[in-house]
Amino acid sequence: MTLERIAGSFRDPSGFLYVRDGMLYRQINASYRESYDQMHESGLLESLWKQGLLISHAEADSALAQTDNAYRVLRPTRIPFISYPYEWCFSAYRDAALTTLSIQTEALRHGMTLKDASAYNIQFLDGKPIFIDTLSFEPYKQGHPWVAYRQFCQHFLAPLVLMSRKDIRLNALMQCHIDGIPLDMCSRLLGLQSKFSPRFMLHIHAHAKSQARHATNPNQDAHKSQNAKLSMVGLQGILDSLKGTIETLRWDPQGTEWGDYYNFTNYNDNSFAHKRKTLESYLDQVNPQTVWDLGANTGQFSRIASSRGIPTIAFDIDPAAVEKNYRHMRENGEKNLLPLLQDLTNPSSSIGWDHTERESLSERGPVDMAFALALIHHLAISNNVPLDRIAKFLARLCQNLVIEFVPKQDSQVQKLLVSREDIFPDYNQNGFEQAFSQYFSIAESIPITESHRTLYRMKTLEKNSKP
Amino acid sequence: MTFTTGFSMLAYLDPGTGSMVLQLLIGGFLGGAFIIKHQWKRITNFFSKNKDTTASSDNTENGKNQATDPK
Repeated sequence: MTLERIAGSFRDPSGFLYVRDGMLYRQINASYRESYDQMHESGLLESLWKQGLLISHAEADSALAQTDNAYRVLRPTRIPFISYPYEWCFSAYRDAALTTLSIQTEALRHGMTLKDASAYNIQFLDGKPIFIDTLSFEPYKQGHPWVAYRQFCQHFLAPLVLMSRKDIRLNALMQCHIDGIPLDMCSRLLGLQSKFSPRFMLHIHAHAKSQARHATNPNQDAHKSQNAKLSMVGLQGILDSLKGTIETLRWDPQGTEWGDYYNFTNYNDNSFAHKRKTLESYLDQVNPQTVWDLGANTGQFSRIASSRGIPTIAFDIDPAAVEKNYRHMRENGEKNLLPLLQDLTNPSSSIGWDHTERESLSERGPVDMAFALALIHHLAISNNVPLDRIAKFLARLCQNLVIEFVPKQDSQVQKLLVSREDIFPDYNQNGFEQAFSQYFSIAESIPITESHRTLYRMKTLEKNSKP
Repeated sequence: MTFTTGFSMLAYLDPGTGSMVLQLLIGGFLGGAFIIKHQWKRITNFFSKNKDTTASSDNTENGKNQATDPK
């Protein structure tokens, strides 16, 4: 029997997640009994499931409990790929925030409330955001403010406002602040102009001020307010105001016409069709269970995998490309594709307590098959990464690799070399094959018709793949 | 009993005194705005519903006239 506690599941005393013999379980502790029973009896659980807002689960044998204080053991539906807020594009983040607010509104209708509003409790399943923490609900006590208001503002509102009003890349701040972006920091970054917006004024600026004012002597300050109550209407008003604030936030890529964003100038119709066909034949041969498309742009090639029902993650460094891909995915109701932000030259690292709370990109692998299409020149030439180091990194990420070699004659590589010295004598097909043969066995290589490029299918050598 | 041991005793995460106090301060105002918004919606829905009913009954009448028009 193998047993492993999920490293990020330790803050809430109501229970924890663990993997036993490859199956994911959630233990509910006796202290959460009242809340769990109320979720059932009030109809909240059923309602959230019906609306697809909460991860489904089956009750498992209590004998599988890990400690004596267990009340129930659940077997939740497993999310194929755990993503983090700093990897979400603007619209994905916005959808996650609105989903959290919908869940809180629904909980209040059933006499319950969310006791936390962590962005890490939202994941994407079948192309939609879904809440994954069944233990986040508690009975609503009349007159009580929302205990998760601070966390909601730090985890959702602050990043979204900064992304929308200041810079789309600011969700990266979520990587350095594990409990969300501090509101005083958000307030300072937003500046004076945002103070004219009543909603930003209340939920960000006044909120930050109130936190600072009451930080020095919380007991005394709290004592003064002990008789004050927040009515249900007041609470609904706060939630409605948060919803309105988030709904009005927008972000559209500037300075670029989306229609021309990715023009495949170095592919004519024939070579494009040939590349597509070759990729399809590689998929047929490997039949992967999961695919990561590294440098996916707007997901044109990712969809060859996802349209076959293969859960596919489309990673790209460009927020505009990921945004466009995500909107396309939502508009078309695509279920097997998840577009995410990822900088492969500085991939998501393991962060949080003991470096284990949130996993790095490679810890979430290895994936059955990775695509690295029109990517190698960006890594090798734009970022000066030697070919053998690229091979080593990719071998850690996947069991099978489809990689496109883009030689120096290609117009895209020419563009990269136009303003700099060519210090890459080994950047040629021979050097590429030699470097990659240290970590992969090359199964096939097919030159793409009417282009200088070659599409390889490789298999990771046993000694390099992660156990 | 203080505010801290009252409201926050159930919270496993620190809700932040400043965040709790702010809600008490803004709740009345936002709650009022919430009620006005909903009442306004009800009023506009009522009139748009009436308008729809009138429009659809007009259509029905016209349709009927056309259908029964002997020419």
